Amino acid sequence: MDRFTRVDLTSTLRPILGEGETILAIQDNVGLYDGNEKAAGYMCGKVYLTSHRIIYVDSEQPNTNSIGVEIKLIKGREFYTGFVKSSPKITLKFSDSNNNLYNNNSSPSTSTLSLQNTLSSTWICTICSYSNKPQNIKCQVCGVKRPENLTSSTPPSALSLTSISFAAGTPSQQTITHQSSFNNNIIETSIDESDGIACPKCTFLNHPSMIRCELCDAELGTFKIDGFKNDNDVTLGNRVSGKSKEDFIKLAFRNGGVAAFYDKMKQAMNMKEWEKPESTKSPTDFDPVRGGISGIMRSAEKNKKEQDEYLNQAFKDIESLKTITEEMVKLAQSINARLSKESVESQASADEISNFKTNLFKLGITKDEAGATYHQELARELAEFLENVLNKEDGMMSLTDIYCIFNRARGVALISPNDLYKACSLFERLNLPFRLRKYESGLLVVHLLAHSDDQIAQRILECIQSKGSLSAIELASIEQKSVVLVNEQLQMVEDKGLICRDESVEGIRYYDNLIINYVWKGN
Amino acid sequence: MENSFSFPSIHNFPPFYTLQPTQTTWQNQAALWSEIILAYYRHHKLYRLELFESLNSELFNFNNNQGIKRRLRLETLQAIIDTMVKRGTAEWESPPKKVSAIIYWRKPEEWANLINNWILETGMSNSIVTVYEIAHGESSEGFEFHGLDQTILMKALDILVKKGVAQIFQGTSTDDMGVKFFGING
Repeated sequence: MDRFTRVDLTSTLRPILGEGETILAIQDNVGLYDGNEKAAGYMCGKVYLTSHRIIYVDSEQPNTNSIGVEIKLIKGREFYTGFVKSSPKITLKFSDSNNNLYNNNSSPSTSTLSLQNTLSSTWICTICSYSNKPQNIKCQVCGVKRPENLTSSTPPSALSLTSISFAAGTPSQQTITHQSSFNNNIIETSIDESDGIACPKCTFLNHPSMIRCELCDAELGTFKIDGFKNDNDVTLGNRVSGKSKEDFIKLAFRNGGVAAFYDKMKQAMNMKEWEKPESTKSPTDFDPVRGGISGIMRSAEKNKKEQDEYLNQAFKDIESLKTITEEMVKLAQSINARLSKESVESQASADEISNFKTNLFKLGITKDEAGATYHQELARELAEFLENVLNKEDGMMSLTDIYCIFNRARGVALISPNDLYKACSLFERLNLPFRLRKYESGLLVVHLLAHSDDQIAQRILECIQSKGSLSAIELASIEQKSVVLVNEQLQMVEDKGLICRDESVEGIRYYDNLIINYVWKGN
Repeated sequence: MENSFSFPSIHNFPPFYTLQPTQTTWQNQAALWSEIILAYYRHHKLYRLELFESLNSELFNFNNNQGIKRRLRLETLQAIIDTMVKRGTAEWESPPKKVSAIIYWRKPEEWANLINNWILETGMSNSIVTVYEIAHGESSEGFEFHGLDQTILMKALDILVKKGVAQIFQGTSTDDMGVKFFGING
């Protein structure tokens, strides 16, 4: 269990995914076993399989009891089909008992792991002194290859961090201890209370409560502070407390779906999505021609070629399109960015487009991933989407309009009207801040939970009072809403007795209700 | 003709000519219409409302200088008179046909009292008066019931007969009918 880290959730209780991470499968009503015993507090929840992690979101206390584990830490898996009352289970082995893990060269992911471990901190380019990310093999700024001594020569137990920090002249009173606990390194820096913490990069003495160096923003390695979270780095995460006796956990699937989940997990473990950033940049020897402006031009040209290749590949058939979706989306994004720069559209519509784009690429839950929980997931996704949209729309929008913009935002993997309807009817059950409402005319709208008819009525009344009289179409164009929706709202206001209608050959116009309170004293 | 009837401002309000679907609004709308009709009929001493004809009258039409024209629809007028019938201020002349109505800007009981008081005041107790004399005679001139619609007059007289205040003697026609008042204060 101690391999699990806390997972941050969105407001609709879905896990926040890292960059390049995608959801592969979701199964609800799953319990966790720590070894062979049930894990208290993690008995019933939803399990998300992403390309990088397995995430457990508790159904009762999602904010405190939601945890995740990186797939790359999983060394073995076992499948148990279940028997009589015992539910089907998947066992995830972390093979901690094998202390020779680092020497185990037969394991497919060992090379990555040792690389990751030795480079859990950034490395500094020897030429330009730029702090590079650990996965970069060449310096991001000058393109110089990472020095050899930082990679292979470092023994697994001693971190590159040490060599860097000592080389940079860390004060000797500071001792850095490394607990090379299996494949995770929990670095604890003994803090000299009087002096504060010396930055391993720049040796600046920071205040003991600092997490990052004030000068160079490097991580200080003080992980004693509660609540410190770091999503990107596995080794620095917020551990789930409790040492486990066993080196495996089990997922009990009480609601079925185990076979599909297992298949997806196998795929994910074979795909090794987390290795991709490295594998795409093949380590080549440093070539002086690659440096300088010519190098930049070369790489721009190369990028262009790659894009062309992607496009060609992608549109060959639908399967390949699926596999390189991510690249395609990135490409689309960059094209979009370029287009919007060049576009001569008005400021308002440009804003709209950029707003739209921010919502655009996060969407895309599909039936394959979610299975039985598809509509619930869709509802959550929709709720996240509507949070941005509905406030502009005055808290109410017709279902057809939502269908339109939601599918436009998704771009691919469009949803059917029926799926949307089902997802919307789940809002109440999932405790999401939206409600589906059916008007007497049969018009379906989605509105904010906090939305109130009185507010709308007041606003419409004021609008009518200022204009004298209005037709539904006029009001719709003033309020920038659909006519059907405005019609419903006018009807609602009329029912309240605030306005009255005037039917003539020109259609219906609405007036302030002078009739209801009119008193005639007689002649 | 006397000075013209002055309509209230609501009479110039376009939605006033549409049957309001909201119940509370409609109730007040119908009440306002019946008030206007009664006041208008009292002003012009009218008793009968022929629906088709009167829809063209100034009472149910509105024409403002901005070119907005509204006219009450027949169904709306029928609905208004229906509510008046319920309140006892109107009566359909030949139900279930809704083409003509009697408007009671005074109820028959009130007319009966007025006639009886007139008899007592003019000292015509125990003498016989014809129906024509009551409505159109010289002696009733200046009184409110002068020119009273015959149907309403007969209803008022019926009420007096039932009270035992008067007795009707049949004549050759309605106008020849004689009424003997006993001089009792009804």
